[in-house]
Amino acid sequence: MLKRILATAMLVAMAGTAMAQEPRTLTIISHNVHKTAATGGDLATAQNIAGEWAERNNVTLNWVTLDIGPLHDRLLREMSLGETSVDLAVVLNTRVVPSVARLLEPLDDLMAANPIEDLEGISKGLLDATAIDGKRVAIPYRHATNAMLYNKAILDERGIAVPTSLDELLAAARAATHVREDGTRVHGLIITAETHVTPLQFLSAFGATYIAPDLSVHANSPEMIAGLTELAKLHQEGVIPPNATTYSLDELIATMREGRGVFAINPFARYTALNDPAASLYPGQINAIPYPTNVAGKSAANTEFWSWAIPGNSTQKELAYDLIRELSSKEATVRAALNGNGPVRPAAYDDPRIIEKLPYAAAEAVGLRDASIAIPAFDGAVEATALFIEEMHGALLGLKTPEQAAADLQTRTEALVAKSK
Amino acid sequence: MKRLNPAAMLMLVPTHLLLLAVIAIPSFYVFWLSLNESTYGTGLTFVGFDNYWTVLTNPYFWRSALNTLIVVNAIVYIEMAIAIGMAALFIGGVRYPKVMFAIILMPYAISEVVGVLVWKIMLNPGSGVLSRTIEAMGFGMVNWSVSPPLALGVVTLISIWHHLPFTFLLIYAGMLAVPKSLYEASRIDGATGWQEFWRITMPLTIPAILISLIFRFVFAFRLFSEVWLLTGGGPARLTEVLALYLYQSAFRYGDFGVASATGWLMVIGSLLVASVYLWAMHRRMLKGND
Amino acid sequence: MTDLAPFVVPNLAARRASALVRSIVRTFLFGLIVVWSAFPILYVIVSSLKSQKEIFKFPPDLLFTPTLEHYVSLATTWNGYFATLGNSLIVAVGATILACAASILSGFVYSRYTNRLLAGSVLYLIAIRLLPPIVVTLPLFPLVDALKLSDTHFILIVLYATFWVSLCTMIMKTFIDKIPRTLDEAAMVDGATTLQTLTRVIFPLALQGVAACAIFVFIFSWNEYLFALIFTTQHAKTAPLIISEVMDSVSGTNWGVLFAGVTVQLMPVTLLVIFAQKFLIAGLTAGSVKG
Repeated sequence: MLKRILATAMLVAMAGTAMAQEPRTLTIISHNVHKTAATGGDLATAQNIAGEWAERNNVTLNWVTLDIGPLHDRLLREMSLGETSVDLAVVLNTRVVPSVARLLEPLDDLMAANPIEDLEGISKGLLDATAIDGKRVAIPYRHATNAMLYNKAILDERGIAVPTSLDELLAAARAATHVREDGTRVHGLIITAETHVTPLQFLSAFGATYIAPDLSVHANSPEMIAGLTELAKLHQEGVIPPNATTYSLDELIATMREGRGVFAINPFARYTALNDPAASLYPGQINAIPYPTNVAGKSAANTEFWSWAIPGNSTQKELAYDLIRELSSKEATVRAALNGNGPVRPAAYDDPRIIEKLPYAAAEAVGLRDASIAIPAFDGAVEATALFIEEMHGALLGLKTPEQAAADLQTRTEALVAKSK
Repeated sequence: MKRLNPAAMLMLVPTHLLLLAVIAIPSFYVFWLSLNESTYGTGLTFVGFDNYWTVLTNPYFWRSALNTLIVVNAIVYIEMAIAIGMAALFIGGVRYPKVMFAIILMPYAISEVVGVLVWKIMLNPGSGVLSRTIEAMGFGMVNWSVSPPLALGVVTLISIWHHLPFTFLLIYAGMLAVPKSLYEASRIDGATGWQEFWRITMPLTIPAILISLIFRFVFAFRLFSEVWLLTGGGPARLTEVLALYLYQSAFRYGDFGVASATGWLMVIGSLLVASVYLWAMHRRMLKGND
Repeated sequence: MTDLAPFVVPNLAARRASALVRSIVRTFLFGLIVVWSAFPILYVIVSSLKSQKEIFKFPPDLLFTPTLEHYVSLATTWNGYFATLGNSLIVAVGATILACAASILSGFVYSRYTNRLLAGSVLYLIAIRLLPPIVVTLPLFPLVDALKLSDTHFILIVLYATFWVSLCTMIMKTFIDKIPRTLDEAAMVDGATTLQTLTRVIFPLALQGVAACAIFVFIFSWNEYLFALIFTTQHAKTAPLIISEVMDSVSGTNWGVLFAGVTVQLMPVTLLVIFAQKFLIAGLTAGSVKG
């Protein structure tokens, strides 16, 4: 109460004075990649989109960057308070679930008053996944769509053609697996089975879906069983590294940079890191193409994406929304892509600046066209990923038959979905 | 031994005020949370002991409890044995003590997360420096990532590596504090170094050993980073430990009731595991030391 | 102990041989301890000086041209790092002083006074540390926020000190237990107050314990991550938070920079240990006086 009186007194005292000149501070909580996308970081070619907006509006940006896990933990804690100092945040798609959406500010009124330029230009799948119960709670900003990455130098050296179908890919991965003279093992296919993302991508090429957008569970499908069976086989044959179940992104990057892996499942944007001349033994030799399926002309692409959202207990919602608007414009989307962002507007891939800058732009556009969201947003989404990882490990390591793992995953996920509804 | 007087009680204030404000009162609130259902941004719904029931009927809880029990005991006792041996070695004299201390304490000085990551890099089957050296020596590939016992063995190894300096320092400092005159007296009686160690050094170091045992149990019981970064509890949740189980329910699934209940069950578990030592310490206190 | 032996036992040659064996075994054991402790650390330090391409090479190059590129990029790209080191230092020093001061006071009382309640409270002191800190953050977060203490050095100092007062109190108690009571009684007879006795008589003799406590609290506070993550945003942000950002799960860990950061972070602790070691030895000589 005292605080409120003081604040009012301050306001009265300041009214009519130099108040307008005082810069406002906007606190943003995000991962470092979003900061780089919006500001260009320390890139020589930095496109400081957020910075220009801040200068125009006399705002100081207070950018708090955190890794994914801590980011959501911190954001959720902040949103549980009566009032938070966080004005703007990014959220991963699996976290935009009803229980979290309750804590986010619905953007519909703000958007009605001050629309976002060409909202329909943003990929529909991503837009749909960020509207909860008919309310728009977040605006998609960055996507990471999975590709097939491969080391061209090793393929050429071993006389293997670039595969165009799933069967060819599996055959090529097997053929590429070998032991170098110094005893180094070269693995045909690298996946990060520590988490769910790349294994789900692997399985989706078989036509397998874990949970459909309508929350129906398809874990026990013949496609899923076929995929899991193949996964276990590849592991047994040593095509996939023996420690695939603890393989992290870092290990995938190191493995590909050192030529210890030939094919890898990872987002298109990984292209830059894998071809980095300062770190890679194969700079410019690692390509990214749409992940093939056995259906001609159709690729398989699981996607994860990030969106901007405003905490419901933030005190500067209009200001935060204005920045979202700025960052979501068509031009800003292209400029952010030049900063290395995965643009959520498919049209951005046709921009000459992007075609010139990103060698994989055309391929990623195809990927985004075919993209589906790995696990739909529902309250049990995070738990569903854990269930999947557990059963997938069981099948991959032969602790269970693929049939058994698929059946168990089906039963357990159905129970989870039923509970979450 | 003096009776407690107001001046002495005043000297206890800082310690107990800190503990009360930062841990004790919040802990009671955590107990209240454990009797309720809640998540981020919701109110509490009283559910009685439902959360405890949920946890206690979950087979994954029991598996992680068993893993914790095995790993914690392995860590604490192996580490204690090594620390006592090392302290005895150092008590016998050490050259370049400053450098030696700096080196020995380094594993403790590095952040836990980084320590675990470095071990993981070195031990990565097929690519790590250590694992490839082991392979080059003809022992074959040690693929701990698919074998829960091996993975938990690596967890034990890393945890001992990281915390050994803690235990060593406590015990070494305890041994240093043994009065020199006692050794002189025993030497006049013709005792050998071995006898001195068992008759003088060890008995007088017992309080330090007791403290380090108890606190190592306390710390080891919430073992998290080693497992989280090494295996993430996998494959197929076979290497999960209690802290991981708690972390998942609290911060990934946002189930504060279950997390709080698990927390309190961990309190009971660690009390049981360390009960012998706690009882011994309490008795020493009642006896009024020495 | 060996130098007294010739006086007692006539069989000189055998004694010398066994002394030689013993010295070889001791040297071997010391060597083993050094390798065990230092190898992973050396790996970090050496890697921080290698170019990104060389870091994971197998067999590793033992001879290579060292590069400071990762330190440069730590200072430029991760420009928050050195500022956060300053915060870490403030917090670690503050927590160390607070924890040591509180524990000397309480350790003295636990050592010198007797009371059934006091004996029972030792168990409380330990039991209270059993609840995993991560659950304690659930109620603490809104509390700290309501008190407007979020993102201050003060809150981290208080939190870190609290996590160690239990153990440090117990450590101080065991060390003070070994100091003969006759010493404080003599001081009291000379008219010293309890507090004076503690600071002038007990404290200098319990320096080993203080040194051990200081090392523990400092190292913990210097590296602590979870609470720093939850309770700071900008102003009081500590170095481990930057380190964790270098270990990035979206674009991959920048190993060279990580190792450089870790190496920088190790230095103050190493200096502290070398400094504190003097007190451990000082306590040793003090130990020979008492008894």
